[in-house]
Amino acid sequence: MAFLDLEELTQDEKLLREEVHRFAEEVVRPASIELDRMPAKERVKPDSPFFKVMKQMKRLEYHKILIPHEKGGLQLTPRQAYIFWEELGWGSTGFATALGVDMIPFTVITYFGSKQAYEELVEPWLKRDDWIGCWGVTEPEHGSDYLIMLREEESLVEKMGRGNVVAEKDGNEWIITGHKSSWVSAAPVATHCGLHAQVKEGKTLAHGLFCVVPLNLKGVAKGEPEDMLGMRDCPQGWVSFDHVRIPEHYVVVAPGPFYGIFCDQLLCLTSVTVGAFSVGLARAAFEEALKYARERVQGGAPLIKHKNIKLKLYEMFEKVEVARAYVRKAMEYTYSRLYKGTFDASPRHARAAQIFAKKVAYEVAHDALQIFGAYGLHKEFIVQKLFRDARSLLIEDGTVEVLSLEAADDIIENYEKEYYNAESITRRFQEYVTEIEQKERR
Amino acid sequence: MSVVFPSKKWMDELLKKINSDEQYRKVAATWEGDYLLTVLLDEEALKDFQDPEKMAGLISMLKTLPPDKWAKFKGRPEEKLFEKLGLKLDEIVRDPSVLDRVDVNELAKKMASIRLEEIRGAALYLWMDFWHGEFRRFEVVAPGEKMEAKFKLTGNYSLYKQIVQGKVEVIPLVISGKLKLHGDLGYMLRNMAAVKRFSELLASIPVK
Repeated sequence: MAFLDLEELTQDEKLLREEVHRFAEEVVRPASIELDRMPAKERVKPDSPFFKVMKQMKRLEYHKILIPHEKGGLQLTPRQAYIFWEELGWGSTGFATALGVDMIPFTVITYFGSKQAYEELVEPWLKRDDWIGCWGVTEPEHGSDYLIMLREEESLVEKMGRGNVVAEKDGNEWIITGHKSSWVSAAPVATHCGLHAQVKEGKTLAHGLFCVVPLNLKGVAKGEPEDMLGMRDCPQGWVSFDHVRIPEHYVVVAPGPFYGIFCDQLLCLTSVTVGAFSVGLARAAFEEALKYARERVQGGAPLIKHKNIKLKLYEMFEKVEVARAYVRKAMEYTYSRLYKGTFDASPRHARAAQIFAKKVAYEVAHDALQIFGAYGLHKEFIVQKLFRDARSLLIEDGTVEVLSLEAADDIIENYEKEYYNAESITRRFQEYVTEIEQKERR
Repeated sequence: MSVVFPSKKWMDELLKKINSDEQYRKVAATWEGDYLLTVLLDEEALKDFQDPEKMAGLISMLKTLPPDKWAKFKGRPEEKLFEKLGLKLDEIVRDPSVLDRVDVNELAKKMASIRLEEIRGAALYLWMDFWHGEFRRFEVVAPGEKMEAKFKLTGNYSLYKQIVQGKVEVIPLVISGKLKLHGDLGYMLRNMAAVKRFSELLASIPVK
């Protein structure tokens, strides 16, 4: 469904929207519906629609949208990137998530890693259509608290306990051991994992590192896809590491102050991105409801003639428009920081984009389902899938509650500052490393 | 025309290059802060300084150290290095001009017999002072000096060499933990344009 965009897009941006929307409508959405109805195990078989769509996206070079031109990518402008994510999210938040997490290990190497890691891992990923990345954060004993470690008091972070995946240095290699929980998006289909692990001697999650682990290495095991309520088009499952050895240059972000800044900034990127495809989901739900309300006759008149429906439709429209305006702005700010390599995006603003858009997606999908009445509960209509996906978003990539608390810490500490204040993160993460270094020296 | 790295000529060239660059002046207009670089000698350094030209370059840098600073090397790994090279620290402390008379060919030859374990921890300390788009001072300093510098960067000689040659960038090395950076990272991130321009100019000097 076409719509007026107040941003007055350029011709290139309009063409991009049309192209991605067509793909989302004709390829992504039908496949996502098919996957949603399939048993969990069927979804990861080689002939699954999941792989067909992922391969098509790779052939269209969608995985390259954040990679700079000089590194073999497309590097869309921040505004183009917003358009891209909203349209893909409109088609399926599951596929948008799968593509997002696919990018994480390789995009992180491109921006932060060594030339050697780029040549060994990123160059093949750019060319091949069968390498898929995932993002290993969530653990059996740690989920959204990975966010809390950034700004919460040290004593509380210590109470959260140690990480479930541990990294130990051994000569020129690191040994990875432990278990990531069943909720790792795309893990069952992934070939590589961008992994957060705690350093063996470290006291808390904060004393960690980010590395990329090829999942065909000895000692890696992956679980079957879980049978989830929503986002079923992006298989989730556990991944475990039994003394898996990786070369030193696969550790992209070493323990220390930059690990804290890296986690904070990566969360800014994922937040605005999840925000964008949440807006896409909200718009999809709104458009479904509008279309249905125009056609469906109840009580002798089309639904759109009923005042309560009109009111709901207006409120849904308002929410989608406001969410788009804010998330797009937040994404433009955040992505431009990534492109400039300044790593100084604003955590509170990026988190707000994700939190607000997720809530809007849930509220709009909820209202859309209500407008559909009993048909909304029927699997024939996509609106129940959108509702389940929107409900899942309130938990995935950080629960809205923990995201809000974490954003609140940044607001309380830094609201008046017109720049990214990394002072406390730098100090705290440096202390962890200094402690270990002193121990090593003794 | 290439210059030897490390050497006093290279230091002068870098100072000149930065201060004559309009772009740097612009992007670093608000930068306030100095760096203390600790260049730890490693296997590659031991090999490089077997080249008399490079040894001469190292000596030319050390000669810029004020006479009263030499005593700070007492009891440190650098003193062991001087001893291995046949240089007596006490003599240098008394009269730093002995360095004017050293035979760099002889020193380079002696370098070949030094093992890293014998001098582990020996380093070259450099101090760079930047202020509002100007590279005010670039000096060799003694151990323990300029510890209050806004940023302290520590790493092996081979890494610094790669940076100077433009083979690697500073930031990925810091992120991967190969170079240790202590200081206000937030400030540095906000001024990344200045850091990047400096790195570009640093790598643009042809070195031997």
